[in-house]
Parts: sequence; C-alpha cells; structure tokens
Amino acid sequence: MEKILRVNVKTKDINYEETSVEYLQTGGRGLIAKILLKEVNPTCEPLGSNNKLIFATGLLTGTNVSSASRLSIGAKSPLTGGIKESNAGGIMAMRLAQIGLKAVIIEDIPDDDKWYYIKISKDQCSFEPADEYIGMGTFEFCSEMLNIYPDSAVSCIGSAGERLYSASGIATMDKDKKPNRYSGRGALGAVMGSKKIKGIVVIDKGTVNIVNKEQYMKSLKEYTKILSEAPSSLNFKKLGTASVVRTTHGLNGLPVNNFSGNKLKQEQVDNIYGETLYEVISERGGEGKTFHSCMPGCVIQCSNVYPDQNGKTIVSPLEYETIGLLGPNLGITDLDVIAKLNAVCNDIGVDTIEIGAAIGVAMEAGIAEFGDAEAAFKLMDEIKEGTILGRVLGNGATITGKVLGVINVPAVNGQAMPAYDPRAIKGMGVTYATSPMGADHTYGPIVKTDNGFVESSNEAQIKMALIDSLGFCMFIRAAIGSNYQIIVDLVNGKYGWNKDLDWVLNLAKETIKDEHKFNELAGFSNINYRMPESFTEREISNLKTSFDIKNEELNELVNMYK
Amino acid sequence: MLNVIVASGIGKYNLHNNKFIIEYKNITLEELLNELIIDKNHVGAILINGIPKKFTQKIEDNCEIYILPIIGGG
Repeated sequence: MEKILRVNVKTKDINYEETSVEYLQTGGRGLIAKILLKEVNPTCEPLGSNNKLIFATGLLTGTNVSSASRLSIGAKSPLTGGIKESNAGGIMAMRLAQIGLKAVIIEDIPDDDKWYYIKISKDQCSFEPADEYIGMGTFEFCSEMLNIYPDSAVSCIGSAGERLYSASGIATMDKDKKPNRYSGRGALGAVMGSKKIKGIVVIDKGTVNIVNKEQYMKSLKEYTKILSEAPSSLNFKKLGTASVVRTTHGLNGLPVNNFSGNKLKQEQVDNIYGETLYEVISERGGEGKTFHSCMPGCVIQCSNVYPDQNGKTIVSPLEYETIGLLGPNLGITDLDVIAKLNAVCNDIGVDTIEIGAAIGVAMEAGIAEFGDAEAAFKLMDEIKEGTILGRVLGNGATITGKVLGVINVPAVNGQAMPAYDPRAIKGMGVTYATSPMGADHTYGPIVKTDNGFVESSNEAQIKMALIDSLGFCMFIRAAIGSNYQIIVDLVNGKYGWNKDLDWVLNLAKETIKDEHKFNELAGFSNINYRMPESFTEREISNLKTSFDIKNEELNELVNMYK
Repeated sequence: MLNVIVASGIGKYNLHNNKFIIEYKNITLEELLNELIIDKNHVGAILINGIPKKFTQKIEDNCEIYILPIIGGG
C-alpha cells in the first residue's frame, strides 16, 4: 500500500499515513489539487505557515512504462496567488514510488533560522542540518549529497529559492545525477525556501507492485510500440523541442524583444533552429548529445546535452522555451549565449521562462539594450548576488514591470508567458488566459490550429490533466493521439482495477474542477481569466491581429469547470 | 528517385497514402513541400536519410525524405 509521508518543519514531526481511497485513485497533479483543496486554506499566505509543499507521484510512476515517472510538485503559488503544480522528469518520482511513497507533504514554517534537508530511506525519514549548504548552487549541493549518499536522488533549491524569489523553481536530478530537470514555474522554490528546506534526498531504491502482470505486460508492449514508432517521437529524438522554433517563427509567434510582435530576419532565426542545434552538437562532439533521456527507460529521449567548442557540457537540456525567452525575446540569437544563460539559471535555481521574460521587460525599460548578451549576463549576476535590481528581476516579469514602469508585460495572473505569442498562436493564448495556474503552456498546449481555439484548448487541457495525473510526460500526447484506452489498460494492469475510459476522462475533468475551485476560494473570478490589454490592444503588425478571443468565450471555458 | 514518408495527419496524408516514391527534382525541401501541397507551418522537421535538414537544403537523388509533425515545446 502506497503511503503519504508528512513532515512538519516546525515541530519536526514525521508521520507515515495510509493513503485514503480518494487520494489513491489519482496521482501527480490530480492528487496535488485534492490535497490542496482539502488541506490548505486558499486565502493563506503562500510563504506562510498554512501553505503546504507537496511532492506527488503519478499513478504509473515507478513502473517501467516509458515517460511515466514525472515528479509533480505543488502548493499555493506565491507568483500567481492561485493553485500551482509544476512537473519535471528525472529520477526522484521513480525513487519515491519505488520505496512506497505516493506523496511527501511538507507543512508549516520553522520558528528559527536553521536549514535542513530531508533524508528519506525505505522505512525512515529524518531532518538533517543544512546550514553549511546555504548559498550553494543546485549543482554544488547535489555534488555534496552524492559525496555522502552516492546513489541518491535529490530535488533541491538554489540561492533563488533561499531568497524566496518568485521566479525560483525546484531542481531534480536526471538519470546522470545532475539537477537538470526543473519544476520551474509558480515560485515553488520560494515555498520550499520559506520552509527552510534545501533539498529532499532519497537514498534507497525499490520496486513497485504490479497486480495483474499479464494485462500489464500486454498493454506495456502495445504502448511502447506506439510510442517508439510515432513520427512525433522521432522528431523529439532528432531535434528535441527546439524543433518548434521553425513553427513559431513561421507563425510570427516566436517572442522577439519582449513580445514586441516583431519577426526575426531569416539569417537570425537560422542560428537557433532545431536543425542548427543538432548540427552544432553533432559537430562539437565530446560530451554533447543530440538526444538524451531524463529518466531511465524513456524511449522518446527529447533531451540533449549542449557542449562548448571543446566538447564540455554547457547545459543539458537546451529546450525551446528557454531558447525563446532567453534568446530572441532578449534580441539574442546565439545558441552559446542562450546555453550559458540557461546554465546560470539552473544553478541559481530560477525558471528560465520567468527570468527571460523579466529581463525582456527590463530591456524594454532601458536597463539594457536588446541583443546585448554581456548585459544579460550582468543582470544574471545581479540576480545571483541578490542586489536590489537582481531581487526585482528574481521576482519575475510582473514585479519587474511594476518597478520599472513597463506596461507591456507578457504575463497572466502574475506568471510569465512561455515562448508562444498569444496574438499569433491563439489557442495557446486561450490556455494562458483560462489556466488556473497563470500563463502556462503545459496546461493545454495548442501550437497549430486554424480554428476552434477555445474548443481546442479545452481538449488539450483535459488531455494534459490526464497525462499530468498519471505521471506521464506531455510528449506522449502526440504519439497516443486519442488512444486513451491504452493508458487505462496500463493502470488497470498495475492496480488490478477494472476502470473504463470514462473514469480516466472524469479524473482529468475533476482535476481541473478542483483547481478552479481552489482559485475561486482564493478570490479568483472570471475577470482573472483574461489576457492582458497589451495583447488584446496591441496588434502584431505583420499579421494585423491582436488576441481577439472574446471574454465571453473565455468565461464559457472557465465556467465549464465550476 | 526519392522515397518520401509523410507523417500521418500532415496535409492530405494518412496511413494509407503517406509512403510513396517520386521522381527526383533539383529543388529544395521547401519547394518539395509546395509540390506536395503541405503548409510548412504544419511541419516540425524534415529528415534526409535520417538527418534533420533545414528547409533550404537542396535534395539529392536517391534519398529518403521523412516529413515529421509539429511537436510541443518543453
């Protein structure tokens, strides 16, 4: 029976609980929504004693199902003031599930200034002093933990989380034991920092129980075949998510100079195409890898390792959102510069989307020129050092806009937009506006659709709630298409259940309802689910269009989940 | 001759008509997309003999061209 581990950072109480039936039948994002709705006052101060930080595993996490061991982390967000779940790959979720944990819930805040990390083994959990690690970047901290616990899995914060930056995330080790996988969004790093927890370290391994092995193996074989043979998986493996640069550029949706609506020249965008990334990695060789899996057994392998000219790793992975926000959004089209900025973000422990957007806003304010890479690195230094300007930027695009007097801030409900201009890619814009988590492409990604933006966004939102609750990576979505049955069969095989297709779709819809309910109780109403005026009033000059989806249509989508 | 595979769902292509052979022409990948009546904004990547190539790449005779769908960003 999977258990829930509950730790209180004030009293230092540690409790293992049996998982209730309600919690047992969901996982990941769905479980986080249920726990937050049941246990956390939606009006609470996100960095205060009443918020809880939850690490949750999906229903299929810990099995050998490819791409099914994402780690979901959630809390009330200091960035948006609403519910937040942010998931990432890596090895932590797999380890937690394999030692029998459905979730870890961190409660309260301490009444002293001492820092700890939480050590978890198969049957024990303890608070370990961590004062000596404060100020360390995520890479140094993980290296220190590996010196003590050589075969551990670690999730941790960097200095950004310690300083309670609203752009701070939580890093998780990939299969190479590097903290390269990020639950970057929504300031979850700050919530962890408010509880004075530097990291979570799981030192044991285990296995999960499969109840109906015959059914499970049959479904696993079919699922793996579908995933491995899908053209989308081949694209992920060849170019990774950088493949999207061509599409968004073609659609005029790649953000340039703080979402100005401008389009890069062909010779500029050529430098950051997925094909260019592939060529550079291939030519440089060394530690570089054009494909790479972030968790064991993944057949998609969308990740990469981006090396310098000597073949030494700069960063892993270099992905589309980061390329967009730290690249053309800052007027930068040099992959080496983008990769180095990304590496700094990873070590400080900040979300590349939020920081890219914040620096873009600062550049619009005249703090630096668009395209000035040296200035971008200096601003990153300020964030790392915690200067006043660094703290402003470290608190994200919306705060930066307020402090520096910039109206054109690419954010919804306080959270910065990923690298899709919603005026050009309107389906994604609908998702940004109606997500209970602020501008979040993973809530319902729609890259290319010619009509039915609201309907398409809703379909994508349901699919993603399903995927996130089962612990899957969003990149299985294109491969499985509408074949949800294969997922239900896998779940039935693992648990010995007899669920049907309606069950999994209801699970997804219930998750979205729970999230909207939490936000409603936190004070959100329909007027919060809007695109900012700088995107409804300002046109993209090439396309002569703004974000023109009517508020009534946005209301209609949100109201479906009330 | 060119062996062409188009991922099902792109343009008019489905599982029944997405693998075919066409006569070689001295054109770029982008021009090939036009000939196949495929909107380039519906294409995520094109592989020539398994290697991703820019759409300005000239096609050489006797190769395999695999046209892949758009994927989401991460």
